[in-house]
Amino acid sequence: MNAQQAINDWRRPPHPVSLRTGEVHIWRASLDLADTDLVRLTHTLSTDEQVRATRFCFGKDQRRFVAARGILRNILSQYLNVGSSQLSFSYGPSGKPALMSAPEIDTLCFNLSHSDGLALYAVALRTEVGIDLERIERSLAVGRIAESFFTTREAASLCALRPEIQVTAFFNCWTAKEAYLKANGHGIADGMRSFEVSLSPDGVVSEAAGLPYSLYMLDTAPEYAAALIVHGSSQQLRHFEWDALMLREESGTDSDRNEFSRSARLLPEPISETQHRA
Amino acid sequence: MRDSLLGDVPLHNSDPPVESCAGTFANRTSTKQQLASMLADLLGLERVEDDDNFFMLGGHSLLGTQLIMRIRDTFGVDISLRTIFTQPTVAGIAEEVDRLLGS
Repeated sequence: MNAQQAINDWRRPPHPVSLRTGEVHIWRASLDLADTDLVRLTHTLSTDEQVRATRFCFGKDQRRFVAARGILRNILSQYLNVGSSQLSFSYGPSGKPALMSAPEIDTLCFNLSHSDGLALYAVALRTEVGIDLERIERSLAVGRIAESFFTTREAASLCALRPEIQVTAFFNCWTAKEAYLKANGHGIADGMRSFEVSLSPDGVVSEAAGLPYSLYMLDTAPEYAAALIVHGSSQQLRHFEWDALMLREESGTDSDRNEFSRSARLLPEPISETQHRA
Repeated sequence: MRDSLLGDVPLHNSDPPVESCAGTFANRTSTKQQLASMLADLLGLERVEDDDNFFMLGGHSLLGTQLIMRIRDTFGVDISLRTIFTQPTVAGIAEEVDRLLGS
C-alpha cells in the first residue's frame, strides 16, 4: 500500500456528528484542560478508570489520563447518542480498548493515542483502526534505536538520509509501525520488525509493502508525528477539533436520551459498489 | 491529590509526586540500585524506588527503548520491550537483568 499524506484542516464537527461506512473521523484534542472540565470528565469515568488514574505518580499524568479517557467517552457518546458515563470498555490482550454492551455498539471501532499534551482519536464503522501520535524529541539517539528496533533495511535507509531530517523520519517510521500494531490489536512489544515501511528521500513513510491496509501520515501539530492505519482500502478522512464546549452540550441533552435513539447517529450504510462487487 | 479524582476537588496543576510511590529501601540489590538511578535520570526524577512502575512514572514505549539502550550499555545485556510491559517495576526489570547476567 502507498502511504497517503493527509493535509489536514481541523474543524469543529457538525452537531450531531454522523459517520458513514468508508469514512474515518480523526479527532484532535488538547489534554491540558481547565479544572472544571477535568472534574466534569472525571465523573464520566468508570470506577476502574478512576482507580487507574490514581496509580500515576504525578499529577500531570493523572490529569492527562483523565482528560484522554474522558474525551474518548465524550467523542464516542456523540456518535452513539448515549451518556458518556454509560459506555463500557473491554480490553484486548495488549490492552486495546473496545466498546462493550449494546450490540449496535460493536460496529463502532476506535483507537486513541496521546503524547505530551495532545491526543488523537480515530473512529470508524466496522473496520479496525490504529493511530499513533508522538511528540518529536530532537535529542533522541534515533540511529541506535532504529538499529535495535527497526528492520535492517529501515535502519539503513534512515541512516542514509540527510542528518537534519533523520529525527523526523525516525518518528514518522515509529508512528507508522506503532499504528499498524495497534490496528491489529498487538502491543508495541509484539514486534516492531513484523512489517517493513519504506522511507522517501525527504523522510516520509512512503509505503508499507504487501499489506491490505491503508496508511495515512497525519499532519497534526508542529513537532509531532502521527500515523493512522485503517484495515481495507482507501478511506475518506475527516478531521475534527475537540472542544471542551462539547461537554456542556452533552450534559444539556442527557435527559433526551432513550434506548431507541442509541444508534440514531450511526447512519445506514450507503449502497456501495465496492461491497457489491466483493 | 489522589483522592481528588473521586471527589469534586479539582486536580492541581503543580506536579510533585502524589505521595511516595515507593517500596522499601532495604535490601536493594546493586542491580536494583543502578536501575533506579538509571530510571530517575531518564525520567528526570530525583529518586525512584524498587516498587515504582515505569509507566506510572510517566514512561512510554519510546522511553522504554532508551531504557533498554542504557541497560545494554551498563550491564551488557539486552532485555526485551516485552519485559518492560510485563514487569514494569524497578524490581521486575532488575530480576530480568539479573537472570540474563546469570546471577
